[in-house]
Amino acid sequence: MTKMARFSVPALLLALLVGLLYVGMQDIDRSLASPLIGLPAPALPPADEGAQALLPELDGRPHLVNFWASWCLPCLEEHPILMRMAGEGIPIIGVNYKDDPAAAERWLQRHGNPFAVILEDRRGSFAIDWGVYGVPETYVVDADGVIRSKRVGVVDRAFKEEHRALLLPGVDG
Amino acid sequence: MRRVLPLLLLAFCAAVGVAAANTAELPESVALSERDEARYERLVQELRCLVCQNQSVAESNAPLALDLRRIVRRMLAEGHSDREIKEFMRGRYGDFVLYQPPFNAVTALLWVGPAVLLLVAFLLWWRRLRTGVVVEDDDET
Repeated sequence: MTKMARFSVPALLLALLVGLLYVGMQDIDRSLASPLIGLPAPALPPADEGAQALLPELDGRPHLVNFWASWCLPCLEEHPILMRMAGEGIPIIGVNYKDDPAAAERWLQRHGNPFAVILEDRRGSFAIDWGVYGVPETYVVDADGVIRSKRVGVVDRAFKEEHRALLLPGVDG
Repeated sequence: MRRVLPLLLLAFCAAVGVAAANTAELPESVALSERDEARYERLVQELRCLVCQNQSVAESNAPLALDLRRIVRRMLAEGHSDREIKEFMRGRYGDFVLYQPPFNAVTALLWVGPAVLLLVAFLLWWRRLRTGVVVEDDDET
């Protein structure tokens, strides 16, 4: 009996530890929770005249803030989903991150423009205030201007479905 | 050749080291006092580069790491304390940005776990020594 316990107790402890480490390893999607969730969204880059006129329309409306760049391949990958969301009436603010405006313009002309407003963050300093560490990153901002969720990397259908109710209030679906 | 090879390797490593140090210096334009320079070196070692997560902000050449180094320098020049700089980073990137995570409910197990395990092991060992059952037990089998 004591011999049995002497073997099984350490074995059990080891199994527990291995289990704990295994569970810990499952968080491989780098979805490190943003400390900004639940807080008011940081300032966006200043808008040029065109964007200035469009921004008030977003006041009090839930929207997405998508950091993207023409040099970013995953941004192209998520582009169709963004187009679809824009088509459904979800306003998306596109923050063009460390990009050449001409290249960004060409990219949008070639692939289509899902953004209600486009803002420029040439040096990437605004992105740091948002806690961005690589494009694409997408934030869900509610009607009160509070960040509700963040996606690091490509936006997919699951993301779209998850936030549909918040982003499209009053639309049943 | 056999003798030359280590020398060549050494020279290569040195050259790479110098090159890396040079790129690292590029964005850091703000001049700091000697004391702040030392604080800067320590701070960037303690911050994790979020892009290549196993490197510190000091080691990484990812563009984000360059940006963060620049910010640390600027904040030091502006007279911010180490704590303020770390809070700035933590407010944006979370506990993960600090190589030494703060003690809180989430990280308690991380901090206390090893000590508890060691204590348990020590207690077990001590009990075995005191009772002395083990040796006889082993001999019998």
